[in-house]
Amino acid sequence: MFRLLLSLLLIVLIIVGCSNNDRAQINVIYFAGLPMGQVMKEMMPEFTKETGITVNFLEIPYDNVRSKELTSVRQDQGAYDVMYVDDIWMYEYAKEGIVIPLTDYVSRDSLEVDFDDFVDKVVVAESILNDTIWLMPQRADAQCLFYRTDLFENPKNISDFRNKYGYDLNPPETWDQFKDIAEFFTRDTTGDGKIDLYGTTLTLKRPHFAFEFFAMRYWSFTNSQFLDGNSKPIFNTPGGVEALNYLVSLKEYAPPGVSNWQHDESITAFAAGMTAMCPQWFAFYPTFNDPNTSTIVDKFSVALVPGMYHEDQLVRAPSIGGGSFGVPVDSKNMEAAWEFIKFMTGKRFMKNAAMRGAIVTRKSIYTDPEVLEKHPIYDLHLKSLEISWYRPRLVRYAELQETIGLAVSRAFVGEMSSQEALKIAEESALEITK
Amino acid sequence: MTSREIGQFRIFIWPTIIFIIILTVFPFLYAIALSFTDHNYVSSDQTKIVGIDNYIELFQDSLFTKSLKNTVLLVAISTFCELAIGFTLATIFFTYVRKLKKFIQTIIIMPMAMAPVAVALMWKYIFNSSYGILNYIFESLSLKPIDWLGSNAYALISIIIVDIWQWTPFVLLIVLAGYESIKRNAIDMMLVDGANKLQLLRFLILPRIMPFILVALLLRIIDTFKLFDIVYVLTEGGPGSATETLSLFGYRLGFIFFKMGLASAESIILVLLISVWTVLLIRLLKKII
Repeated sequence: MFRLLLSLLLIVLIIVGCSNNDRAQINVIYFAGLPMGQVMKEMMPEFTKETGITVNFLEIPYDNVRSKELTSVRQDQGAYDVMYVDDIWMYEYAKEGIVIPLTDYVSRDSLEVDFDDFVDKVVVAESILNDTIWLMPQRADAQCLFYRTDLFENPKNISDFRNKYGYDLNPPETWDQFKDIAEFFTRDTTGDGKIDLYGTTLTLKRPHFAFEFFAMRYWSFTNSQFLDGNSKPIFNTPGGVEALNYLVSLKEYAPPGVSNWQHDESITAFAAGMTAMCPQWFAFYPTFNDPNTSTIVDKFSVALVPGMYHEDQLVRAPSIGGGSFGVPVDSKNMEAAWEFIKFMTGKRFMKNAAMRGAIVTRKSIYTDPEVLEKHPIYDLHLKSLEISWYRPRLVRYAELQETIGLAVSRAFVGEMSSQEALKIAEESALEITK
Repeated sequence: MTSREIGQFRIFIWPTIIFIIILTVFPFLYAIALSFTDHNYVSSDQTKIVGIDNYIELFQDSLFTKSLKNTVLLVAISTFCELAIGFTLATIFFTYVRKLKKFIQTIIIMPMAMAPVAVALMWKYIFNSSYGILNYIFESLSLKPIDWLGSNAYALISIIIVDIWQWTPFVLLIVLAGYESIKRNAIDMMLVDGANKLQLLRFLILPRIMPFILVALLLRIIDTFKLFDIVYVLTEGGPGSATETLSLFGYRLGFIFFKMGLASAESIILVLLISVWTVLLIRLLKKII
């Protein structure tokens, strides 16, 4: 009798234990190495305490996130309950049915979510497609221009620059000024016959670095997108060629090897004081501001990326970037996943993240006096977000990015002319977008 | 061996055959079948049979033909240099090294024991145009620094240098095993008979170590055709298309674009290329042995 009771008790305990675990544990896949990820890990115990949901948080390198997520869903593994989705993947994830629509969840918890608080531009870039909310925006980034204040404010540089170029040395308004400034600062500062200060970093490893840092120039040179309203490629134009030729012409003002540089190399070079300017994503601001990773703390500032004039209107075109959370169609814990997403995109979490220097998606945080007092530069980031441009939206985005990135890289290293490279790229793009 | 023993032997061998069929033969046949379709792993579109269109598309793609050219160049130069250096080092090792043989051997084989990604990351720093030790040495010798990974003239050479650095020890070990198979007194006898060093090499050493050299050649060709990690970490095929290789091209088709039909066709071409070389070399090996 005792044995029977004991066995029954064990069975009940196992069933209760299993069912509890099933309901309360979710798997979250996230992009490794982000300050936001660190804040999430720190706030995870608080989330578990409030909701009873435990989180298995998997941080993996950016290059592997998309392939892991897509293969997991296509194999119906149910491996993840919450997915990190980069803004450039949204179209593919929504169109191919990788994630579920979140519109009903948002409507149900509208007060708590306060969806209107998200920055409008970010919502279009990372959340809504065809009037359906697919993803909840968590990170919002935009390209900007980091520059060395100690060099720009140096009286000798100011007068030398004015004498040489006929206008004042300020953060560049146009790409022409950017080139002048890059040329001006490329110099041998120690007198040993070797150039040790360069005008600018360039981040041009193919494919996506080459594409995204060409895009901001292409958009402002042409004032148009890469694809027209019918998704037909329109980038092989005189304006496109001019933008690419311009990028190639910056080669002599950048350190050697930039055609193979990704973010790491670019940031390291600027943080080491090797260049006067660094067009980059705003997300790297904390890296430049950290004495452990930077030699230029208190010697740099941030400006909007330069632009080009079109009929007296200055078109600056930083790219918008960032990432959101989605619930995969094969998740077994959709309700718990939604709770997690709500928490990690909520105002409390966002404020905490912003105070730590992470880039957030809510308007209220960008106007929060406490946040602005700690990071006055966030004001500029919001401006940059508001004028930012979207990268092309199509299911086969990865292929288009590879095609244009390859063209940029080919022209930059002189494998072929800008005209020829863009012509080949447009022929491939026609195939991709048909 | 009795017929009963042979029967038992067959029973024991079957599990292995089944494993090979499941893990090798089936995926290979599946890849062949897939290469005639337009299957996309992520797309919700219906998969269609496209005949040999994938193969035609590949050969019309300038990036594929460039990757083919780069791969053949990489295989030819790397393998040749690895054999030449490995053979020379093995000869020096066999002839002159008497003391600390095991210790030196251990040091020499270290590169090939390292993970390719670690090797690539290490070389990424060595090749760095501004801070790399290689350019530092060049500048110390009053030579012009080189943009190793950032110029299309030197990027493929850089990959070749890394491959040679990592895999020459492998060739050295195999050739050394060939040398060790030659009895010392056979060499002494030839020397007593008045043979010079060149004759010794031509009539005794080369015939004995040729099968070893061919084995090393075969393995290095197969391996270099598939080279992926080092290229992926160092250049990802760039700058431009300077270091685009077949394996990288196939990876992109399969795991970035998820075009499994096209990726399978590309893999079949790679397998065919490797197979042609393998068959030729094995025939040569059989003739020699």
